[in-house]
Amino acid sequence: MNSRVSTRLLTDTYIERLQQQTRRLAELQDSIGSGRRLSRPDQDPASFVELRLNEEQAASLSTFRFNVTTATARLNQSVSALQDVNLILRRANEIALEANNASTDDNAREAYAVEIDGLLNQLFIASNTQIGDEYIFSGTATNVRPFEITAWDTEGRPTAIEYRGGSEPTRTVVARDRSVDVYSRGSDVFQRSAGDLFRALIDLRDVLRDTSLDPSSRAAAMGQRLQHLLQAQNIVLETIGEKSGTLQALESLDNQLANLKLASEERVANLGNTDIVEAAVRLREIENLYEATLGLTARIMQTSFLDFIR
Amino acid sequence: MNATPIGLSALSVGQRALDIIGQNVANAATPGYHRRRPHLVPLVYDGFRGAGVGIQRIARYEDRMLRSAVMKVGSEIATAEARYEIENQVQSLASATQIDQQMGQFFDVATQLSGRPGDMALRRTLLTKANEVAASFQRAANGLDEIQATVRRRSEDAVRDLNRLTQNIADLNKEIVYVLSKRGEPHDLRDQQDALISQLADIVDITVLPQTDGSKLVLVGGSPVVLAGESMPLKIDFDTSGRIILSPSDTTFELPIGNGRLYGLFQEFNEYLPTYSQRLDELAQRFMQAIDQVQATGLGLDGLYTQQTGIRAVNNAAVPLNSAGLALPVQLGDLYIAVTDVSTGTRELVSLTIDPSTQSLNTIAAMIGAATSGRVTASVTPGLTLDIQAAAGYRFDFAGRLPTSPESIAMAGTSVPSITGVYEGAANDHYYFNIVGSGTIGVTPGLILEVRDQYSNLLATHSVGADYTPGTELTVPNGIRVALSAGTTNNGTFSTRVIAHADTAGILPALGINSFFSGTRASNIAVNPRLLDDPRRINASRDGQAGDARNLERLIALRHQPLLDSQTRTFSQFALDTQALIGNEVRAMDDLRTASKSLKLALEQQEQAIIGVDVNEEMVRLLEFQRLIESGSKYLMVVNRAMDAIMEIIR
Repeated sequence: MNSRVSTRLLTDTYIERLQQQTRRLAELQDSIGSGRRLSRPDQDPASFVELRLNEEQAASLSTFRFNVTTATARLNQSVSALQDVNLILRRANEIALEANNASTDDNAREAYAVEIDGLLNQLFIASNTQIGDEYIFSGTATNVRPFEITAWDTEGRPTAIEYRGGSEPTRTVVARDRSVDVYSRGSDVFQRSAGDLFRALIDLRDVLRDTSLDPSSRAAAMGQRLQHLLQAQNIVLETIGEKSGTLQALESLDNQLANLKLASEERVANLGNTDIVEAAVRLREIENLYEATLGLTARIMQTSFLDFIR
Repeated sequence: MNATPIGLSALSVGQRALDIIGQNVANAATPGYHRRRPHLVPLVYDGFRGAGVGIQRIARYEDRMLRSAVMKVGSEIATAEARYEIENQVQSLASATQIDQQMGQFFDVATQLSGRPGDMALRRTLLTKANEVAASFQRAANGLDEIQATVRRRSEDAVRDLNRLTQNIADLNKEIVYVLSKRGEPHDLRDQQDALISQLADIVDITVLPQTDGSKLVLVGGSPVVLAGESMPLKIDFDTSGRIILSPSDTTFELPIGNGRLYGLFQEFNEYLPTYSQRLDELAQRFMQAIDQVQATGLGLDGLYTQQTGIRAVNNAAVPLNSAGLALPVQLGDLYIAVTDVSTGTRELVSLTIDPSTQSLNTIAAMIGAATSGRVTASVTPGLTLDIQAAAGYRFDFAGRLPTSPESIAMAGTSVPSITGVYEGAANDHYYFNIVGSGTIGVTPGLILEVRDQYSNLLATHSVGADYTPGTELTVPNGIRVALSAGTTNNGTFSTRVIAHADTAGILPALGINSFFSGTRASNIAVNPRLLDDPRRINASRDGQAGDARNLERLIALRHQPLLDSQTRTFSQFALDTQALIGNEVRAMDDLRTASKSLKLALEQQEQAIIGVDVNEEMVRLLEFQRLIESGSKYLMVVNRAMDAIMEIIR
């Protein structure tokens, strides 16, 4: 302590202290009022960067979850359409088994062939299923009708169907560096070299209508068509299995994303939000100090030698 | 008898002392006031007889070392205050522009669009977000320019203040010397001068040297600005690299300064603000370049191009690109142009090696025409941009898709190979397909297809013999598929280039061909108007189909790629690093000024202990001199009565 204490020194010291305390009070009040501990980089530069990166990550995870939901809905619709296709093929299989009977006459076979025509039409419609304005079996060419009838017989019945869609499946980004196939290439589902669904039905129909075949030749042909139908059915079931697997993976991914998002949000809250209890205690502490300084200032500034000179 | 003069001297000294005490009390709160104290001495007559009391001198209390220390700390505080204020403005600007958040939202919308790449509403939203990113960059760049201009104006104001102060100090020098020559005590003038010198020290760090004639020599950067009654005005100047400097008004040499408001302003103008601007431009340019490169090498909903005109110009089409004033860099690398025959659908891949150290824009234009055999031609526009046009019946693109048929086929048989898919490897490569054995595809047992990369690494092996159905696609790594039609082969081979990056030279973004953004730096970045006119031109695809988002995937991946700070920081990290850098400076300046203020307060306390007025002390002194006057008066009364008594004897 200096040996002499001047009037100005006292004034300047108290003003400086009061200003410091007022500033700390204002900062605390702002922190409590806004609920934000960190609103500017200078408050804690390193934590501010971490806070903002976590905020960005939380927003990014929300977007990924949005895409997971969208992809899941589309895959479910694809699976639903493929289940319809499977029912069509199952019925065609039943017809093939029923028709492949020595007691079945030409009229009955014609009736079965008519039913197969109906199934073929259903299959054609299913292969061109749209969600909104997008074809779900056209790969990336979502705006192109994937299957077209390119040849008809004399009765106007389709004899050839061609794939016109995209050569790649569509993909959706569902996580960082991770995408999932959503809309398949129609050729992978309906017209693989190992099994052409349309051809299987057309060939079955044509055998049923072929009255020139003797029973043994018909039996052999029907056996071959049944084999093709089974191959086609396997392809559909395999595709359903693949998509179901993707759906399961997406469900698991969604849980992971939800957990990561929660962790990011918690980190954001921990870094950025005001600890109200701590802030209130500190506010009370500084208020006490502030009041004490005010009282002390007033007391010391009031008394001087002037009060004792008569 | 000497009694009367002695008594009178007491009254006279007492009155003078009361004046001095009164002045002290009156100025107890006056900044820069130095207390005074009369130094009393006994007066003697004839060398040994007492003649009363006199005031030898009126002392003005001061401590030059402390004063110098206070001024030095004051200069440091002024530096910190000036820098704090500016850094705080920059911090507010950065918080308001939120570039990191805008970029994050841009990538979020791009991620959403990957789920529905044909969705026009989402495409428009992406453009809106891109606009917001560009607007943020522009606001930040313009804001920094405004702050820079403000700093310059404030520097000029500070120098005007400095010149006014040095003039006033010089004037006071004259007055002080004059008063001293008249044996006067120029204490009030010295107080005034010291106050002005303190103000001067706030502007710039100074050296003050008291002179024998009572004047003060003031130096700035070792050069006198106040010498006796003269002041040497200073001015703001700029050196050859554009740095703001302080120099004498009649010369251009730089006066080195190390503290004070002006120093803080100069530091901001010359170092910190340019650093922030540079980082902002670096971020904007890298962001533009990366996004533009992805955009340029993808395909939009309208597919292939008949014409593309660059929107970034060179300043001379005849000089190598490295010297042609391009803001975005070009490096030695390849550019792949796919040329499609519209009538047959045949697509051919043409490559150009770009060397910016030797090739000019004119050269590049000629090379495009030559490499594509005139099916695609290029020319330099009057605005010195590159214009690329397809000949009639042809289209071109830069998506780097596979050619429609393998580039070299030596099957020695009737089987026809086909290679399809979208290459998703990390680097450009050349895939070689070798059939081991001879016979009929799908029939002859043991026929094997080997796939090797350009370094002969084996990538895949497939049976194409008896267990292979001709026409079936076989999977090769990285998204490529291969199929062989029915037919014969005799150890046949075929190959194709597979392109991950169709523009490894970076020439497409540098010239603004098919780009997402226009502009060259943060202050003029904007979304390419062609995209705003038609969102279908956002190149989300790599195969040209509405549902393909493979190019968007590459764009989305940029978000997490460390493309800045020597390939260590992502866009967001770099933007936030810059904010942290600013935040650190704000904090450092705040800490410095707080610490310096505490130090200054401590020094001022020490100085005040010497020069400050303590009213209580003055009151005690007041009573002391009150008593002196009272006792002097009493003494004179007694002397007067004694004289009266003596006079009675005479009467």
